[in-house]
Amino acid sequence: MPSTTEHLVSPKKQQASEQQPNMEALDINVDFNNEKNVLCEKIIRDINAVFLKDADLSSFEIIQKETNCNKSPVVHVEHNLGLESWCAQHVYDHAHRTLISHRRQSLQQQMRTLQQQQQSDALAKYLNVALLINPDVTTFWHIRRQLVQKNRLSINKELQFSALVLSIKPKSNEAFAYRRWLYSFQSADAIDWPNEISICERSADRCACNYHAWSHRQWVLQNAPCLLQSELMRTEKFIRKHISDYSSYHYRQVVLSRAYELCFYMPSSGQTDDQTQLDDLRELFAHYDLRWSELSDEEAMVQLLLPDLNRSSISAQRLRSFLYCCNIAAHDMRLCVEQRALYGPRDCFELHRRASLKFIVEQCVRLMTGLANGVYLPQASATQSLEFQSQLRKFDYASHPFLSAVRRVESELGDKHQRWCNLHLHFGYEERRV
Amino acid sequence: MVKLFALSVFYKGESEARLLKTTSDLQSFSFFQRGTVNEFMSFASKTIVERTPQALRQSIKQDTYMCHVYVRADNLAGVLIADHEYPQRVAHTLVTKILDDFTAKVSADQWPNGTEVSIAFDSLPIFLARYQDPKEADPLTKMQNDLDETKIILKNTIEAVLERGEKLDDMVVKSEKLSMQSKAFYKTAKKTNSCCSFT
Repeated sequence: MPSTTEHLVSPKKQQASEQQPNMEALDINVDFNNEKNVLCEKIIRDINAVFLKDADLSSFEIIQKETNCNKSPVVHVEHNLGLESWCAQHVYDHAHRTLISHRRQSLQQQMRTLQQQQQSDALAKYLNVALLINPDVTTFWHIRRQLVQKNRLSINKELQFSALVLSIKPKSNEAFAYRRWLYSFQSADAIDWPNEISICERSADRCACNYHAWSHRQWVLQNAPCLLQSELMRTEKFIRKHISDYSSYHYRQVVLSRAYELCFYMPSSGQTDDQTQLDDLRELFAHYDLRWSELSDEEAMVQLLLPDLNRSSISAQRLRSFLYCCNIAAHDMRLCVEQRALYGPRDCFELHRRASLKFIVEQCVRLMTGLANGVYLPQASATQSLEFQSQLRKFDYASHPFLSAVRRVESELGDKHQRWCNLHLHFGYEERRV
Repeated sequence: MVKLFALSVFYKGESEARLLKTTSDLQSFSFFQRGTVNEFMSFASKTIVERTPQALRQSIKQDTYMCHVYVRADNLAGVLIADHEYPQRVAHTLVTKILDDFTAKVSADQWPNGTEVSIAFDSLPIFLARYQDPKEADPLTKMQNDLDETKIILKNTIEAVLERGEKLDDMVVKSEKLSMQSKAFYKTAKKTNSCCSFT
């Protein structure tokens, strides 16, 4: 594979390229005398034909085949495009050479190429092939951007192309970045966000710990808060299946704190819902030996979680969102324990349970102590975060009925867990020294 | 990823194992790989059944896949190919359950000469879809508490199942069930020591 770190070629070859005679023909010079080049040109033309013919191309891949069987190496079945491996390197070399020779031209000449329909089409043809075989070349993505800016490539087609690149390389940061760049030309209302989520999900499913896919998804969530409810559902489904992919657990934690930040809760539709909606929280109370039969209504739960709360300083919505989000965290804590029973101990279960516990404890403390100065949302800056840490350190857990029960029961989970609680929640367990 | 890929029922004859019924879910593989993967899964299943003694359970790990096999005393055998994260206990309970169902629906005299077409047993795809979530198996596992997990033999590669003197590479080359493309795939996959990194 050729080097993946192409750098933008500066126009230092200006004089040399200006001497080239065939200005009216293609700037992209192809030596048709060479048999190999002719073959590569043909393959690239075949691939381009598939692109033109099939508007719903969904995947690209390289098919392992070591020898040329005298058939076209371009396979197109049910919206899937395949290229046989024996020719991939030659085709890539050819496309790469052509594109680099384009970049070596003077800036004016490059611009001329981009502006003329025929030549920019030819350029796009090489770009398609080169990027599908090797999606890591920033220079090539850059030429695509130039073509989009000159209106030579349509945004919708480009979204489709980058999705195709993600089908062969689900971890392609370039492709995700390109999508974000394309969306900057569209208004947020016009964007098909659910489709974007499913692209992220597909990429994360194909490649575990896919940082680029999950951070792209965070970007989507940031721009489309309307997805919160479906994201809460989808992420649970995902973590149930991908039990050791912590990236997905982390994303769920992000969704949860975003939900709380935006004061999200599910409006209860009927009387039955009201009862079952906070069931996980009730069960959590039972787990902490708190008599849950007395805690059947919301009011009693608020009393337990936030005793002596000054109701006038907090909106009803904030309170509902608080209960709703804590309920989800409680649900996740139980889920982690159940998963552990089924699959055996795994770091992900342990870590996610801790993160959920931390969410509940921190939100309680934040509401109890932060209300006075109006800071009860997750901290935005580092200083706020430090400030909260010091508040957590000073917090008197013993005076709080729910948190003191949490502190008592959690201590049974072993030394390691105790140390974690001390470090992150300042539970102040006594350290046992050996 | 917790996932089931393939389920198959074999009859273990004297010279070779006979495939009676099989089903697979290969959606998670890329389109052009599916044919090859399918061939390899049947190849591995057959090979393993032939090398598992009667009345024995084995779980064989190969890369990130796990092949759970149970050959009953009456030579009926079940193979389940799953991801290595799929709980082993559930996998074996499921194989037992499938073989029980199979015995109830297909009489034993059909086994030695049966083919995929002649055997009427259509529940495999239903099992495969339903047990993608191992929680589904909860009541099942409770029912069959007699499954003794300590009796399942664990092997770390397919090579470990082969008999003395046998080599997987040779078997792949000789196999008539594998296409040229699959053999080429095996060669490259072995070179790169991974099954999904091309180019």
